[in-house]
Amino acid sequence: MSTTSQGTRPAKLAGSDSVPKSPRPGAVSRQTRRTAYLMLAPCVIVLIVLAIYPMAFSGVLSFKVDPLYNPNVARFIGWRNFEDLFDDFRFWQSIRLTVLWALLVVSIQMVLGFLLAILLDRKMRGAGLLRSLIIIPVFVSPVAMGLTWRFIFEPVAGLANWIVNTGLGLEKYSWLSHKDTALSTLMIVDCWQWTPFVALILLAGMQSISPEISEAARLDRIRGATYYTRIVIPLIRPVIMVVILIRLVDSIRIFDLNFIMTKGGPGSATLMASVYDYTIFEQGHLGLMAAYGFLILILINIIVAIFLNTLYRAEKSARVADAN
Amino acid sequence: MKDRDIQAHDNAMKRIAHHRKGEVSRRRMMQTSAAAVGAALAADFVPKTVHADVGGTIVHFASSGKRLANSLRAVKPLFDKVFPNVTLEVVSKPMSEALTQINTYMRSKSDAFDVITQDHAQFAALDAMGALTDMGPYIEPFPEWYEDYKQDVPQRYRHMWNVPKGPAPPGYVAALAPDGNAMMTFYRRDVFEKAGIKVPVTWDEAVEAAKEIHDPEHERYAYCAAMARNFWAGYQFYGILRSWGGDYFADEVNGDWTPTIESEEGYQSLRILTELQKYAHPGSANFGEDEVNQTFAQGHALYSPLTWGTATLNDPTYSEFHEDWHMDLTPKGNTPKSDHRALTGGFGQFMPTWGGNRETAFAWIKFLNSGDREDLDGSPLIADAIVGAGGQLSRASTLSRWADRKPFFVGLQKAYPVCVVNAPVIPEAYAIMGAVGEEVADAVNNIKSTEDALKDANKRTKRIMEDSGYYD
Repeated sequence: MSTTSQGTRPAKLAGSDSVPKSPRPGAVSRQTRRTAYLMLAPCVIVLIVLAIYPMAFSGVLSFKVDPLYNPNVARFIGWRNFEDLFDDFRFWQSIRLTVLWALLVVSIQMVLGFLLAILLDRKMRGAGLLRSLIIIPVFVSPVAMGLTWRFIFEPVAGLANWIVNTGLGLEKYSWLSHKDTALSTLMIVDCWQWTPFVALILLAGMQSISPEISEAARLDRIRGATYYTRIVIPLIRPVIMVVILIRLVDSIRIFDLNFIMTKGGPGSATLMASVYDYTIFEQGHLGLMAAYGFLILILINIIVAIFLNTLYRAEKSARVADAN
Repeated sequence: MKDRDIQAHDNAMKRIAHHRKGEVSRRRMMQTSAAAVGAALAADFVPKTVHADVGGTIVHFASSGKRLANSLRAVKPLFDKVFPNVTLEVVSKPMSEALTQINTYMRSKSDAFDVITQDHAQFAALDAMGALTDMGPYIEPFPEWYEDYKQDVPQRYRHMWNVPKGPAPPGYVAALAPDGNAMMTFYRRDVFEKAGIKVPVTWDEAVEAAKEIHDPEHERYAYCAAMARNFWAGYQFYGILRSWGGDYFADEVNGDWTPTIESEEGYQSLRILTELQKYAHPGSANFGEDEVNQTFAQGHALYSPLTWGTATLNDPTYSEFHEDWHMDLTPKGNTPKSDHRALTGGFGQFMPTWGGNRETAFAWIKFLNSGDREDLDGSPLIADAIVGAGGQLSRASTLSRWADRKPFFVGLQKAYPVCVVNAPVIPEAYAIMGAVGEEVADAVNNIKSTEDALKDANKRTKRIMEDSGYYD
């Protein structure tokens, strides 16, 4: 007993020295692993410096009073920045407007983009040129675009009111400077810029549908709206979901257009989340700004999670239906 | 002297016209035109003394535009002649970003700039950040020069640039300011004369005058002011509040920091602002000062009882109504505490703590702030370059010299003796101005009631002051 425990090796291992060791499937050598880490390192360092550290810093900042204008009074205040935000009428106003904005502009862009994609999917002369032209708004700098549209919607001498007044004989509007019209005017501009993007992605989806399917539908006399609702939309559903996701996240983060055209005004009529957060920064409340930044991040994550969950469930039920 | 000024100005305008023919951006053209004004003046400039012993590179940060960065660019060709071994670089950003950016630079102790032009309302914050340099030791070798400066720049205005604040005597000189400004009444004299009305003295008269001249059918709106949310609306409110005898705090001078925005004066101020909106240019709810000035220049707005405005309105290249725009004191309220109180601001030049090349930086600041006396290294051409580029002045002598061509300067001359500082002189001023401005903008746009807006403005001001430990 004692002999075995002190020195004798089990019989099946005794001869193992003579047998060459074969690596476990999927195992990597230390050398390979080291190379992999080295190659990953620059990326990880950049990520730490540009994302993780600032996020951690913001996290700490969100629990502090730290005025930009007076660093001498900086101190930890616990959850108070978050409490102040929850008590703030403008915080809720900005969240409400941001969610409303995201839902409305994405819905409008999806509907218009889909109709535009149908139009572009037809075989017609000049379709290629048209496709190239309609994508132009996507590439226009948001600042240049915002300024241009601001001039167009200028209430006295702007083009929009000239058309409305001289062309249509209607009363002039204070497009961007009245609380009831400012947000919808911003929506018009956003839709002008992003609908072509949505249309082109959807068009790419439509053109990936096999011609056999289209042909079969045609033989079965499935045409018009039925063709699109029964054949096209189910087939390009993953593409639609991705476009919605991209546009939804982009819309929640809206800043440039909002800032250039109204700065959140008149009053707080177009005060969306990012512009309000920037206003808080302008006023020097760094802690409050960081707290709000985190809340926006959480909001985006909640919406994305809900969306991805819905997408996953829809895909799952579609697969079950296909299998049956 | 005047003939030579006019000739230099005409030459500069020809150069501008030449540039306009080329393919240049508007901003580039404005910068070039400013430099052209200076170059035209420098062509005739023979400095009495050339300081070849001073050298090095200095970087000066200022808000972009005619009044600030372009004024510096206009003076540069003159400075280059006096200081041939100094390389001066002017860096500029739009004002809406520059004010916050300067604070951010200073908070991070940036050494990128040797001289910075900053708005007066930020100086208490700069002081709290330790960003200001006492200019005393740099001024000391030039007692005669400084005496001339002191005699010429109105004391009320000059003392604004001293820190720390408090009852007299003021602290050290933190900045010198060739630039000056005040919130004034801007009115089209031709329109007022035609309507047979005088410049309003009280706020109620101002509302009546606006009602009288309002002509929306011909796209001529009576009233226009910067009512964009945040600090622009804050300035509008504060200007009216002061003229009613109110203030943000019970007693700033003696340290009673109880907010008094929710008061009879506050209510009257907001009432007046709301009344005036009936006659406002339809875009003004989102306007900053630039848009207000453009609207004045285009002839779409005729009157503002209280605005920062610009001397450029009297420039024939900027507005066809340049001769019609006149400036006067702001109205006052109807109570015994009321008075004409012009909010006075302006931009001062300071040497940031972390900047370098101090002697050269001060030489540049001193040059910019010099008067007309050539025996003190000054020259009338310095002020001419600033005015030619679109700047506005703090020296009384140069205001007088240009008064017949710039009614704006007549307004400034009236305003300086009754001026009050444009914001509470505390680091929190900008934050408070922004918070109150948000409430005011909401009230004026019917998003909140007047009572709620005043109550919330008071509450937010108190919170800002609490956070800074004023009530501990």
